Amino acid sequence: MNVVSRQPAVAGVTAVETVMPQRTRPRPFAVVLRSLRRDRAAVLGLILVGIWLAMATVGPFVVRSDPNDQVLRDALLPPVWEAEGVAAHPFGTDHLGRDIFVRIVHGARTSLIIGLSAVGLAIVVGSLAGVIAAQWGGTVDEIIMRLADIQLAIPFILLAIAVLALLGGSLLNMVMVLILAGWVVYARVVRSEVLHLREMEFALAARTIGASQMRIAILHLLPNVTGLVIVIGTLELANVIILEAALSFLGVGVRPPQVSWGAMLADGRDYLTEAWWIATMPGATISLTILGVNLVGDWVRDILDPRRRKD
Amino acid sequence: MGPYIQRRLLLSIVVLFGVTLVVSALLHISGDPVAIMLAGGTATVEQRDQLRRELGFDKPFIFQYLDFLTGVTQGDLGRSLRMNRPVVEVIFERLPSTIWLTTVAMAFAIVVAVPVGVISAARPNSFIDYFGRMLTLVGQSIPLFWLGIMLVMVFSVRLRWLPSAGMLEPSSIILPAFTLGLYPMARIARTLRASMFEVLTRDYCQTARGKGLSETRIVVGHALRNAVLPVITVIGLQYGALLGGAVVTETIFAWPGVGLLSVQAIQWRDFPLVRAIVAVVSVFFIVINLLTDILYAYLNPRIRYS
Repeated sequence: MNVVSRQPAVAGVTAVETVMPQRTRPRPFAVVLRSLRRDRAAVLGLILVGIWLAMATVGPFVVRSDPNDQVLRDALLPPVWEAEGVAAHPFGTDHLGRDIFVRIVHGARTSLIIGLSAVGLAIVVGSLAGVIAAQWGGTVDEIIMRLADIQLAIPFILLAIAVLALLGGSLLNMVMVLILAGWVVYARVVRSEVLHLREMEFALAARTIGASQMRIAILHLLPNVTGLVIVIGTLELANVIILEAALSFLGVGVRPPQVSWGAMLADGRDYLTEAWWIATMPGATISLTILGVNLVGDWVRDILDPRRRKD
Repeated sequence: MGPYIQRRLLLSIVVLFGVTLVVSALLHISGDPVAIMLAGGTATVEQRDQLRRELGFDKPFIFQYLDFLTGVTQGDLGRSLRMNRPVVEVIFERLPSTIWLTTVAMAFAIVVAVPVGVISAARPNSFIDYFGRMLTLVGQSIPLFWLGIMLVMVFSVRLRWLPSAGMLEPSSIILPAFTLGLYPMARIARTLRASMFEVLTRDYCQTARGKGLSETRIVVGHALRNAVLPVITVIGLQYGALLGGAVVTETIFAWPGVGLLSVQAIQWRDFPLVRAIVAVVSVFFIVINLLTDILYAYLNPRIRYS
């Protein structure tokens, strides 16, 4: 599917489509390359996200030490560039003598798994809710949208802390809570886009030849919303990573042996006077990852949304 | 406007029912509050049953919820299990600190973001523009719990300039307010810059230029007034979001507000207190959103809600 185009998915139906020859549309790959050459921030973003992905996927196979290995004799060693630092622990060690670099690499996986599954599932749930609300209308629409209002009126972080404190902070619970928080954005956007698109000529044409409402929604309307949803999803990914870290920081997130950057930060909070690196290293890692995801998100938006494209 | 506000108010009430119902249900399925209250104690089964009856926890869930609603109509949101006081009292004791913190944070965000946003748009690629872009990027990328910790490390632990926790001194507000205000500052500056850019290319700005007005008068007198509309929405939404951010900020700085109280209440499994906090914060949230929408419609005569 050509996500670059926001043209109606049914070829040859609208006037625009027949007038404009296919070939004048830029190829996706060329667009990506051209925009990368111009947009240095996007390159930085891709590098940062690349490092994050590499740490999360192959990292644990390269850095094979156990992130939970405690060597109390080596506790509170500073990073290697400080006077007492040792090369074996490049980012230093924490109060239990665990290697901070190893823990950061392994923690990337937690944020990736939670981030991708929470955003992905929230997109699925939210888009479905949005399509159903728009296409069925009436009471169904009213119920789904009021649910969304309720969701938006609850301060999410409180809800998340409550649910996780009560049910326990496993990976699964964390993802479920984050889906609960995330679906609303997609539901609202998809609903309003579908309401708008279904009145367009290609949708009317599909209805005229007898396609069912759901068929029109899924085959003709949803593909036109994909770009928008991907853009929101990328920017939401940053929020989800921060939320995971925040909840782990507050002590209701994932439990050991699972490593979380947020929990590492919380460990470092008690050692600010004697060991600044315990909190600084994972915090800097989170910030750089979020920075990367935000930059990539902006870039994806510029590419996928032709109205914002400068050429 | 009238019918629109009426409809919004009605919807808000429905939403509040939903919010309290969801939270009550969540807490209900999470376990027996009496067992948690008396955990490790030597209370007999009879004593436990009696306490359960006194607190109304022996009734089916739906009746407990109805009791709560009856209480609400009389201004009674329940009694805190931990402190054995009406939750309304406990919450309203803490509320001023949170309002103070969020207001200072927002004021700080606006005071920095508005000039930065305006100058960035009026003088693209200037020093202020680069500063603004860095601010936006950094402000949106640093998680506030890390920002808070780093500020404490630098300004409290190393330099010993500012207190790291509590609100005993007037200067105590500085670090938490900066921590909480950085994100809205970034969002406001970004929105204002984009919106100014768009407005400055409009015909009436060109006309003003043609009349020979100074660029400053065009920017401040003509463009800013129109560019500020989307910013109002962002400020409203961000103020609501600050209530959530206050939970983390207050925890880091031991700031005695509702945010810290809510985390404690959850840890104590203080069922009525959690429910009441969520209800009160939600009311705030809804009211702020409503005020934002009304202000927006009032300032922008082109939009009239039906």
